[in-house]
Amino acid sequence: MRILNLNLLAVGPFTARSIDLSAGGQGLHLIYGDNEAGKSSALRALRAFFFEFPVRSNDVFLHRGADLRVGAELRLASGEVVRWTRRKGNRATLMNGEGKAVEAAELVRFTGGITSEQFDDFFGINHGALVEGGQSLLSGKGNLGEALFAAGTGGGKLKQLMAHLDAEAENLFKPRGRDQVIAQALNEREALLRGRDEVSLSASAWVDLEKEISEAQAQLKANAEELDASEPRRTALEGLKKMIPLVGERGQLLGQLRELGDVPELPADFGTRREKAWTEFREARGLAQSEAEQIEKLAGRLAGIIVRSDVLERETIIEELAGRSKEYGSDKDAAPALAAGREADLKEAERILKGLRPELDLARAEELRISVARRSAIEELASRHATLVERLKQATQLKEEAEKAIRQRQAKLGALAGQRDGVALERRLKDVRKRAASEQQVSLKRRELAEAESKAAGQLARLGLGGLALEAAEKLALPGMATVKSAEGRLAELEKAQGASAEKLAEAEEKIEKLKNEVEAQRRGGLVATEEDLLAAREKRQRGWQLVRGVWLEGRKDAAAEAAFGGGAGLPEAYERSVADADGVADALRKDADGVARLAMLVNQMREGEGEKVTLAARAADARGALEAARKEWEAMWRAAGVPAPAPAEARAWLVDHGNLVERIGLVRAARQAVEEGQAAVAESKVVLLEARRELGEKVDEAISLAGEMELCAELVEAIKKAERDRAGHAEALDEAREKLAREEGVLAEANGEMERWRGKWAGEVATLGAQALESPAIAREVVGQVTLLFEKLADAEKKERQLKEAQERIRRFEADAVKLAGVLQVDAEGVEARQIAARISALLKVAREAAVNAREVTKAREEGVKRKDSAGQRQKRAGADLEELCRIAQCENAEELQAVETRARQRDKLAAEIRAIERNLGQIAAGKKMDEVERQVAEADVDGLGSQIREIGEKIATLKTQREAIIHSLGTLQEKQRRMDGSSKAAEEAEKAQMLAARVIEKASRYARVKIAGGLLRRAI
Amino acid sequence: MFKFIHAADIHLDSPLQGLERYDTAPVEKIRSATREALRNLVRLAIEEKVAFVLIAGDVYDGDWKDYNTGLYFRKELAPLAGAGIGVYLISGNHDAQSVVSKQLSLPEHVKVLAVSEAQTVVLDDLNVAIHGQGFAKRETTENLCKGYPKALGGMFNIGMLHTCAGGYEGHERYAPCTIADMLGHGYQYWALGHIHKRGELSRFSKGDPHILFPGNIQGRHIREAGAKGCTVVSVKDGEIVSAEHRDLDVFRWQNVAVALGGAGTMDRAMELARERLARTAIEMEGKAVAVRVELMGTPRLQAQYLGDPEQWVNEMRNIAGEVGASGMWVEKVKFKATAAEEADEAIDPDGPAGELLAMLEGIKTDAELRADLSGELEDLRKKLPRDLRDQVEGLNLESEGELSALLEDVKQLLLPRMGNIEGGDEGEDASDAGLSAAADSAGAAADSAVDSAGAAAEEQER
Repeated sequence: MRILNLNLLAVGPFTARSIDLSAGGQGLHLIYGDNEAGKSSALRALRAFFFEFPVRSNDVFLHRGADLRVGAELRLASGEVVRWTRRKGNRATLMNGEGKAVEAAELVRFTGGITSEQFDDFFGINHGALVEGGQSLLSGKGNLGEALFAAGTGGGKLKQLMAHLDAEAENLFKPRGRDQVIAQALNEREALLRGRDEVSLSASAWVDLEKEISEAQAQLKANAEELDASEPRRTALEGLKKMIPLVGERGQLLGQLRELGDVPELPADFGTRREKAWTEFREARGLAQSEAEQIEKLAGRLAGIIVRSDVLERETIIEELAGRSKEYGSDKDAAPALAAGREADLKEAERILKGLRPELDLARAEELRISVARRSAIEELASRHATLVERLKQATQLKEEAEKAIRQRQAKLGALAGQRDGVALERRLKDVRKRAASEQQVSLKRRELAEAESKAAGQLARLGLGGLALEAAEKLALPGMATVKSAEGRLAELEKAQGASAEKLAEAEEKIEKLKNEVEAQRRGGLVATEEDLLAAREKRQRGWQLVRGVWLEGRKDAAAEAAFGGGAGLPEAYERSVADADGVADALRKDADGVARLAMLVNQMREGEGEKVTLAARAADARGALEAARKEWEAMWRAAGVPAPAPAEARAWLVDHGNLVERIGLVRAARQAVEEGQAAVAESKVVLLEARRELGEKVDEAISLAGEMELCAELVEAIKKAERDRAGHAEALDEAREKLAREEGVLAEANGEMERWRGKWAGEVATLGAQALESPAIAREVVGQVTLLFEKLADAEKKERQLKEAQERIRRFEADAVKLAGVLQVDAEGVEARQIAARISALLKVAREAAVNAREVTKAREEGVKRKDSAGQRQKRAGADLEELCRIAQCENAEELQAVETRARQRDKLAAEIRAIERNLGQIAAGKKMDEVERQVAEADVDGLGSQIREIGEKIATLKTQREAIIHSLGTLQEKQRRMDGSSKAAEEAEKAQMLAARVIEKASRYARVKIAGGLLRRAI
Repeated sequence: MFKFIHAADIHLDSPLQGLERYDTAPVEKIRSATREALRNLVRLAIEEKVAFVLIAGDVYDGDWKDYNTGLYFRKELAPLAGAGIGVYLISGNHDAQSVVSKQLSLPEHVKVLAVSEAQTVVLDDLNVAIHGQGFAKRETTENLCKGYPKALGGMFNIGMLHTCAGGYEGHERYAPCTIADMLGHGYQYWALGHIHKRGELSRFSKGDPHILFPGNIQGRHIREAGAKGCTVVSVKDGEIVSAEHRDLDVFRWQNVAVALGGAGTMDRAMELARERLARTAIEMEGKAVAVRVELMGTPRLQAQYLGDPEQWVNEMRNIAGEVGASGMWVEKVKFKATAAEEADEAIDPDGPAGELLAMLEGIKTDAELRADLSGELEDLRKKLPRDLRDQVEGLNLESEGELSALLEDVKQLLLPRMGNIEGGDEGEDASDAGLSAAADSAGAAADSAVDSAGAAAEEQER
């Protein structure tokens, strides 16, 4: 895939910027710029195009997130080209040129399925990533394996990953650590398990406790049994002790009883009955005497009371007269006012009548009375009159408005200009528009032509053909693609061969250099001599020997040679030194045989290398020559075509670009033609329109543009159309106004007729009310009101006359009744006012009533006193009979002896009761034994030893009770302990908590295993 | 007509397992859960006015030594005596092991059937015969069913048996018997215990008994997910009219799968998880619940998750705290990568990641390397108590299953962070409606798969 164009439509700092990457066949595009120029933004945009915009994009500052757009033009090796745009969003973010979504699989065909991370690692490397990669290598600290492994993974963060894994593992667990997560959880769990065990209840503890309780209960039972046996014994002894004095006391009481002798048996209530009978007898007797005296006194009082029965018999009449007294007063006061009021009403009626009909008197007033039906008819006609007046007014007004509207429309029609036919002009304008001819389009075509020419010129320049005309560039006789490809292949092979031979030569030189260095190092590393040194030393020794031999055997001395040999020393010393040197070198060589061999090998390899270098240098020269020749051929081939030779690697792309140029020249040609055709169409259209407008009598300007002329034509067509629309509108409105006038005239005539009919009815209804009522409905209403008032006044006068007569009759009757009743009751009425007479009779009635009440009360009291006196006599008689009965019971002669007999009987009863009480006590103590047996037991008792026996048994019982309390306490404690063992859930809760920690340990340990194994594995892999 | 309750496997005071405590966890909701479930059982018996209650073994946890548990059991059953409801129970393998059951004396209305041989209790007023035999010792592997008497004529016969029945894979074979063994006795109802998941082995019909495991009354770990309780059986004229399950549990366990489909980030994944957990909370109808959340997303998302699992687990716990008004406890969060195999295939076998993959595979066959790596875990193994050591997944590299799971997690821990996630992450780009719908559909299928997997994983008490 190749990116031909990157369109930064709206992203980061860019708006509608395009980066053209289409030039060149292969190689590298370098995009450079100042800081903040947008290089990183462009890289991000490219990444976003392939892998979507991130949710939080750094490129949202100039453009809103939803507006972010980046497009690209991509070409596959097959030549397929697509132009897609990526937008920021959640779905369907990649779109084709028609705005339709592009499937993800489509993009994969171009990207080869590369991931965003791989893109970042391989293609999206920015400066920061480069620095980070370098630091990653450095952090390997010489560990080449890790560095290579890291480089291979593309991540370069293995060191970090390992450190991260190690740190996590150590945080979870360390063999001797105490603070790590797992260790802490284990410790806490241990503590909880201990806690669980502490609060657990063992089965044996429960069984032991039950056993203890059972034993305690058995002890308690035995104690109770013994106590039950001891308690009765002690009770019996204590009883005997108590019985001894009681038996003695009983004997004394029996003696006293015998001394009293025979005393009659009296009933238990004898004393009460005796006391009650005596008291009743005395009280009844006193009461009878007192009542007799009171009766006498009441008889005297009754004789002194006088009651007037004649007054009481007329009680109703007297009260009725008193009731009428108030009404009598009112009537006396009201009579004069009624008479005056009647006179005033009559005078007012007379005044109203004179105002209406002066010729009539009150006796003929009835002639004016108006019936209800007639009053209603007058009222209705009066109301109808106002409506009719309003209706007449409106109809007149509408008729006048219609007449006015007709006049206005007629004036507007008269003012309109003469008619013109704009149809022909409109048709021609349409034709011109249909041809789509316009200066604007021509201008657009010109711009397109200029752009095409500019691009073609740019392509010419990029191809190195800047001096050529487009047509010449199109007709260049260029070598064919196959020829170029073949020549390019040959050049590439030769370049490769030349490169390879040069590389081999360089390698050989490098190898020789290395060997030299190693030889040097070998020598510097302590090797005293080489074989060459040995040979040199021996050769020097030999030369010295020759000099010595010449001097010694032949007497020949060579001073120059000796000086050269000895270096200033004498020959013998120099020779000895050379012998020693040769021996030393030989010794050294023998001692470091391996070093010598190694050095010899290196030297040998160095020599071989030198030989190989010569061979390789010759081969490299040959390769260079062949390459140079091929290059000359290449340049000659292009020179023949008349163009500068491109670089072989770019030649085929150059040809493709030239092909593109040819295509573009075709486009330029087409654009030129379009411009020319457009210009002709514009001129022709303008002539047609000018003529049409001239035909309509308009002034025309030949110099006007087609657009201007089209505008004028359109305005004219519209003006003609508008004038026709106005004319038709006014005509239609005039017709409507005339129709309306006819309607309104009809309405007015109808209203006038209605008014005439009303006037006829009105005259009939108000004729009796006099001439003034005919004048208007308002006056008629006023007359009707006055008639009504007249009859109201007459009615009032009549009512007052009736009331006056009734009051006078009531006064007369009251005065006659008062005088008559006074005569019957003998009350003095002479010269007394009637109301005073009635008051005196009422006072007499009051006195009579009080006397009657007094007499009844005294009579009643006397009758009740008689009844009480009789009752007291009866009581006295019954009490005497009771006293006689008591005497019979007590065997007495009279009632005075009763008390003495009663006293003796009481003494005898008291002694008997005391004896019974002692016997009851003895019976209880002796558990129901009979008295003679008790007396016998007491008689046989050891009175002196009884106390010690009781003490002994008491002490035994106390001991048993103490033991019992101890057992009960112990049992209670045990049972309380058992009660506390109530099925508590404490241990279960502790276990629950321990289980939570176990879960934590298991989870963390599992994680530890994974992290640890991951770290170990990674370490081994590296 | 009369009713009775059939319950089993109460495991009183057995702690709930696998719940790591954290700040917002509804700790109060799990306290004494098995006790509360027992209380619900007694309450139900009284409300339903049942004639009697059957408990088919394992009232206690075998190794539990706190006698308070037994005392609580005795106290809690007391109200049944007042309501005239008898309790009949047989001892299970756990009860046989328990020190509590050996010493505890039970009130008169609670009848424990014999362990030496099958015992029959006749309820004359109901015309019912209850046959049963408890475990004398934990490892009771003989077929107890064979020793049960034939049905008493003219009576409604119930067999109580603590058994693994025909055998459940991976479970101890205690008192095994076949359905045919049970059919042969002519009973009308077999009240079984031992298997913690409710299951009907046979439905009552002419001549055939109703054979039923009611399941345990309170789930205690994620393998015991779903509703737990007892069965209320209605009998009329000697025939079973109905056998209905009734919930007794106070705290529930639930596997929750969250299909992450188009989620490209863990933030989005958490939003999807929130929706799923909120739905689960509604489904619980006011009951507290522990959830195991399985996130199912792309390898890339898995890499994000494994980069800092603690962060996402805490996030999930916060979400559970917010949506679970009645209490929601996140038991564990797991991440399952979708299309993981395709991702592996996309890795260049000659590259470093490919080498690492090969090395991971090699561990399975390279005993020396395995031993070498295992040595790195030795310190932890020594430190852990035995009861916990066996529960940690990944310490025993010689266990094939454990090793595979460990290596899968290690692979996801390493490869994505080395920059080699390839393929299998179409979901991230699947932002159009169609793909989302597909992802949702896959998620729903995954939900179902996880639920059934969870159900299948549910097991008896071993």
